[in-house]
Amino acid sequence: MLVKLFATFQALGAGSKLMITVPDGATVADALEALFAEAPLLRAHILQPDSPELQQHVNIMVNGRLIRDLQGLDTRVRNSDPLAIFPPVAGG
Amino acid sequence: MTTLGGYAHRLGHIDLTTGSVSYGPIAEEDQRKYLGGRGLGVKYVYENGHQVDALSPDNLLCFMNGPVTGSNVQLSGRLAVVTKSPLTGTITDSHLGGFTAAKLRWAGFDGLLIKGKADRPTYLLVENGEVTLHDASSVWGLGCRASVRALRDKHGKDAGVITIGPAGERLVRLAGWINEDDRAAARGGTGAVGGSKNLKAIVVLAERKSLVKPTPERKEEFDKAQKVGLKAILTGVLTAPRKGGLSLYGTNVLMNTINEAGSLPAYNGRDSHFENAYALSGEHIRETIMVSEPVCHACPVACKKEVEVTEGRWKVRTESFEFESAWALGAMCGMSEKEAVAYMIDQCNDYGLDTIEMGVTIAAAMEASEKHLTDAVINWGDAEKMSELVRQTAYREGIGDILALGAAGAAQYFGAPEIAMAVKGQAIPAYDPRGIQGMGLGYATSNRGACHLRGYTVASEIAGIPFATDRTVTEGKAELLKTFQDLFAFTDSMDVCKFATFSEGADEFAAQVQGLTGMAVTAQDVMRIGERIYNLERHYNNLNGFTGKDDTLPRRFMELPGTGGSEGMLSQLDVMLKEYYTARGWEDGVVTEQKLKELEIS
Repeated sequence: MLVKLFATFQALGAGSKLMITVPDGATVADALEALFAEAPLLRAHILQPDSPELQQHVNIMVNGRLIRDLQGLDTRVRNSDPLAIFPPVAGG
Repeated sequence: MTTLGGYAHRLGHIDLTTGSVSYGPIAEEDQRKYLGGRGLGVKYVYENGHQVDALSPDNLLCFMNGPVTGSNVQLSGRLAVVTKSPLTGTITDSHLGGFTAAKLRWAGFDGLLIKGKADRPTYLLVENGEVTLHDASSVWGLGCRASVRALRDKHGKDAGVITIGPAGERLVRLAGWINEDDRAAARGGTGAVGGSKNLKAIVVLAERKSLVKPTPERKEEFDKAQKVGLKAILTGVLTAPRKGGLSLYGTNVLMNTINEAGSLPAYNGRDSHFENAYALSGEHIRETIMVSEPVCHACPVACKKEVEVTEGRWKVRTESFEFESAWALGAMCGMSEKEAVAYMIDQCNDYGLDTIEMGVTIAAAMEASEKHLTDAVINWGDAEKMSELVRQTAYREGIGDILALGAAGAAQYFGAPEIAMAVKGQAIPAYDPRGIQGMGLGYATSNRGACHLRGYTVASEIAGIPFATDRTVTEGKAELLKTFQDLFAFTDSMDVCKFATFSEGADEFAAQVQGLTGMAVTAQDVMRIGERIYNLERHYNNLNGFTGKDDTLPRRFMELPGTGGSEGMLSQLDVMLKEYYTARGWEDGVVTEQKLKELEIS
């Protein structure tokens, strides 16, 4: 699975893109665990410290859809689905 | 004489035809109902009469501060340029940042109201509560940069200079005003209004010893409100200096996000994603060509990203590598050379052109060329050709004379109005209505033509601020948009930067204005004042013949499915529009007499 990291997340040891592998039936939460195995510094910036929930305003997209508009961290993913992860961003 | 705090209580009334200048206060009722900046400017343009030709001497050109401008309220360095637009025929306002707005306040003014037409090129000199007219023959014809340099050579290096370039002088419909080289009030063709009046520039001097800074009516309350707001900015997830995405990467932090969401129009809106967006993105720019991060008055965010290309064809140093500009001159035209984009942004700033309208107009010309609607050969992604078209547009040479009409006017000339990605005659910004439903409604109902700054639902639909909504659904978007539109009409009238709204809300803005002016202002008042301003703008447009039929989108967004992250999606404007009119209390896009009365608009 292609994971694309943006903005400040790129500087946390993983660069802008990396590949991970997830098993059949995996969820976004599973994909994140695979990502953290490759880039452990990301965990504290993406997940809350004491609960398996996203940090405020961290956005994850699967095939362009925000997972908050799908099933959140329980959203199912396949190895062919690109995952895009953003820290809080807005502009104008 | 009004007793409200904060204001300079002084407007300059300039008649360029007679060369006369007079001064007067702002009526207190107008301050209470319209605040300043955009709101008061709209009130004055309305009172000037709706039937005026935008490029005639009778059109009123307002440069307006808000009550907080020049104070220590964070992000308060904005100035509103308000007039009737020669691009759209609607009322319009466009805002610029930098330091000249604050200097105008310190020089003793809440605003300058300009009518008439000078018999020769003229600039205004503002100093110590006085406005004088001066011969601008020596700078007429110069680019914005050279004009700023020449006028600073004459009046001192700290002079605030707002100027038009060759485009405004030639009445190009997408000409804007440029402040201090790179801060543009570009949308709506306000620069052409300056050109039509032979008004080249406004020079503002504010010597430190003679500063007239805003005096808070309730100092303790104001100081507290300012500190609360500042803390929100300094700790906001988006705005925190050196930490938040906006501060680190500038507005262009959005390029990748919007593209991943399949909401970045490309190839004149044929696609809703661009394959090479990363090459133009804030992340890539920061690690390659960014050289400094300038600020505006009272702003710790520093969203400006100055870039430098040190060698090759596109050698340039320029301040405003913005998301909108990079998208319009990049993705929209199928072009991904960041160096060429930087160069063309610089061209636009020097000629005094709106980068958004310029890019979207070139994109329309590219499609016209592809469809053989013109003899001109303008290929997607041809940076060399684009750069030449920017120059030709500014000087109205060759096909540039057609492009000088803007995207809608040029498409009309090509015999294919449907290839203009514009609403009410103004080009769309960088968010695709197929991918972000609320923005489509926002473009359609904006009072100044397609615009993202009237109601930025992207904050909610993408960033999740102040609360998250699903970008793909229509339900609730009408109310969401109305809230943004009314809030922004207020903040544009204070006048603070839009980015303040990423970390502050109506409560914070109400407290700042109340502490400064002494007026009782609640969050509810904030929304009501904003609603009044939005309705007065709409009423002005209605008087000019605009109705619900003009609240629409280019057909493409409702008929041609999106691509990338919005594959197969279309804008569902019709559904949202009905809900929006209900929320507004309008009948088919027209403000009712009852609504005018309810909002005390007279």
